[in-house]
Amino acid sequence: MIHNAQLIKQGAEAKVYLAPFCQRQAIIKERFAKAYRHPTLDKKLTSRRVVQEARCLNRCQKALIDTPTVYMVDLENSLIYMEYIEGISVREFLVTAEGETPEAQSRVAKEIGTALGKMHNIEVVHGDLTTSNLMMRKETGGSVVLIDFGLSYVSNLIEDKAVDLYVLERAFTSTHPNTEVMFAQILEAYGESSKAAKLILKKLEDVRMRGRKRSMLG
Amino acid sequence: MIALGLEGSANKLGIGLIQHDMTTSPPTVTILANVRHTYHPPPGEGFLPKDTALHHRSHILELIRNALADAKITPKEIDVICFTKGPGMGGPLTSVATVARTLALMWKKELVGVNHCVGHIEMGRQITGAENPVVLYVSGGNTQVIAYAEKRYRIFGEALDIAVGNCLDRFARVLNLPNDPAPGYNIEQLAKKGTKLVDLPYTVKGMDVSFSGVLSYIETNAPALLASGEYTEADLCFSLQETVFAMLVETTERAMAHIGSKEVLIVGGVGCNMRLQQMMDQMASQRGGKVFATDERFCIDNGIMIAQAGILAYQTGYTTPLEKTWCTQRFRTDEVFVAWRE
Amino acid sequence: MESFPIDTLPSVGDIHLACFTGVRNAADLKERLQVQDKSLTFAMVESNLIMDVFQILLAATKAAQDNESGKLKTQTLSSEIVYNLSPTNNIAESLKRFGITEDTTSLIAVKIGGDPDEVLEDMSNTVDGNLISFSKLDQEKDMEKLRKFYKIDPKVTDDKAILNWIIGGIAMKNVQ
Repeated sequence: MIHNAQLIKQGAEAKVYLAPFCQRQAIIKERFAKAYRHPTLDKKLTSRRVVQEARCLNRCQKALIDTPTVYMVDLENSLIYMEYIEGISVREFLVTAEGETPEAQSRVAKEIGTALGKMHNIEVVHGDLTTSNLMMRKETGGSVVLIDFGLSYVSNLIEDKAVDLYVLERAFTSTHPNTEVMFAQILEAYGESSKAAKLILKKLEDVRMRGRKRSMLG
Repeated sequence: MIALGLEGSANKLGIGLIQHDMTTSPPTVTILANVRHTYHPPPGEGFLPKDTALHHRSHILELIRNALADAKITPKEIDVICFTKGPGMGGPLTSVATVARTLALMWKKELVGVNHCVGHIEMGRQITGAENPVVLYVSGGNTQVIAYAEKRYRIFGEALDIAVGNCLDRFARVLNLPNDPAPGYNIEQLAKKGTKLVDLPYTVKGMDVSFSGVLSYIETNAPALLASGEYTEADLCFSLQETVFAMLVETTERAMAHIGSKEVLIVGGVGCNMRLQQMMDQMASQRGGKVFATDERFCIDNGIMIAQAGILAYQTGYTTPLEKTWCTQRFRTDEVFVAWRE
Repeated sequence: MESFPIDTLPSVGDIHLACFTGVRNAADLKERLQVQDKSLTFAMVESNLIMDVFQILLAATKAAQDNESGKLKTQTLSSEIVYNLSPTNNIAESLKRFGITEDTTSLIAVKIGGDPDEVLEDMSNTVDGNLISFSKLDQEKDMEKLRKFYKIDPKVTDDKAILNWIIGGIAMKNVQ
């Protein structure tokens, strides 16, 4: 680990640092050991997830979806070095003067929907879509970048993709009042870029109806 | 105020009597009686609805008499009769509900239909004093990570296929472990002697978990692993527990991180497992938090929890009219309007 | 010559880079590489395959890391740098593609650690060519080869995206 790395986020399973790396600023994500888990199991899971996250990021990059470029994967120390995205999150953007205008929201919604459609086309499920995990790149004037693939996985299930969208919808409704129109625009753009949009959006309705979860036997 | 609680959604038949002294604020809660009778099928077999319902029918009256005797009260002193409306197995549920209805008519009492899962949560909160915990509800039929928000117990994560208790019970059958006192208990005891970890499938999707993969893997491979002499039955029980419990603790932690809570309450039959409690405690300590758990009297299905959840609803003016006292096998935790909490 | 710190392993010393054009002794250098001449203490890569200094610093950093943990895939730290530039795990092919050939006229010499003055002297004495600054490099990229070696999607056209694609390929080499 880089000695002058600056801790910028402490999550349930990883710490995120900002640090100089090869003449650039880089994000370093460190997954840490869990005391409750059997050490052998912990090691296996941690290393599997480091690989999974890096692969999902790279898979997106190869499908021309704007995501942080992976720089280096250090399996021994459970670290992923990746591109630092300069900019603000969509969450922050929506409370700026510009972010409150319908025009800006519509533009951003379209980009988000298109990116998510493309991501699902390559069977990547993000697993933690929130407005904090959607960034806007400063250098391009605010194009959307998907970040934090810590819970992502590969799946071709319609259900998984619908739940992915539902998680984002809940994030919108719980944190951003009056953004129903914006979310509808996201789904509209998603409908155009996702190959299985019809099935997934239909499934999304089911997921909404049951409040994410299916009925359970006692 | 006194409530009678009748529970029989699975193989345990439980009768409880609880008293809330409404002259204090909050009410002083006293458990007057908590009796239980469990149906144990022969080793290697699960409990079938028909046999379980028969068991409940044959023991319920005697059990109610015992509860009244323990509490030293007469039916006259009871204010409300609470029964499990669901979720659970149809036959056993209705056999108990029938008795609840009959008693209510005979004794002229109000009825309150209770959600079994909410019963577990309210009992856990009452016993442990946990204020606003993330709840891990783990039993033979349910696996849910729950948190309270805006008058509902919301499900953040759950098992996508079989419940964790079901997974453990079914493996106990593979090893032909006795169903007495409980298959999961016997797995827990055997696991204490295990040392070697078998690499098993581990399936977590966000806040959801899946146990069918790990169960079918260990069911299929157990005979060969044992025959090779490399692993003992204890090792397999140990490995299964270590793996499935890690999945539960992981998703619980994720929910805690998500809502910013530092408390976790474990309820349901699997919640008695000491290893699960220990792992949860290690997780909570790493986050600077705390675990609340109850012992077998309250985490295993019982009548008191139904009485407790029922009396809380009753205190807000809620009753279940006779024509709506039917039971339902499916009854989601988040369908219940939690009027008694802020 | 330019020197850059290895952020992950500052104690190992800097990454020293020197670019040479008009190289006249490529055949001789190639021969020395083939017989594993121990007196060659630095790596040499085809400069027309280097889009950006980051690309080479990354390959060198990864080599330094693996050297530290005793996990080199190739024989020396120098060959590891060249190997790391390639997105594939085929050692012979990687060295052939990114290393120098008999016909090379432009190369980048790379060395990890050591005193800068001594390193530069060694490089200048070994490579018969003109030392130039790094900024001159972008005029000499072989896009056709880069696209082929890194399997770059034809739809990726701007330089930044091409570079990111290349970086991703280098990064994912050990987790394919």
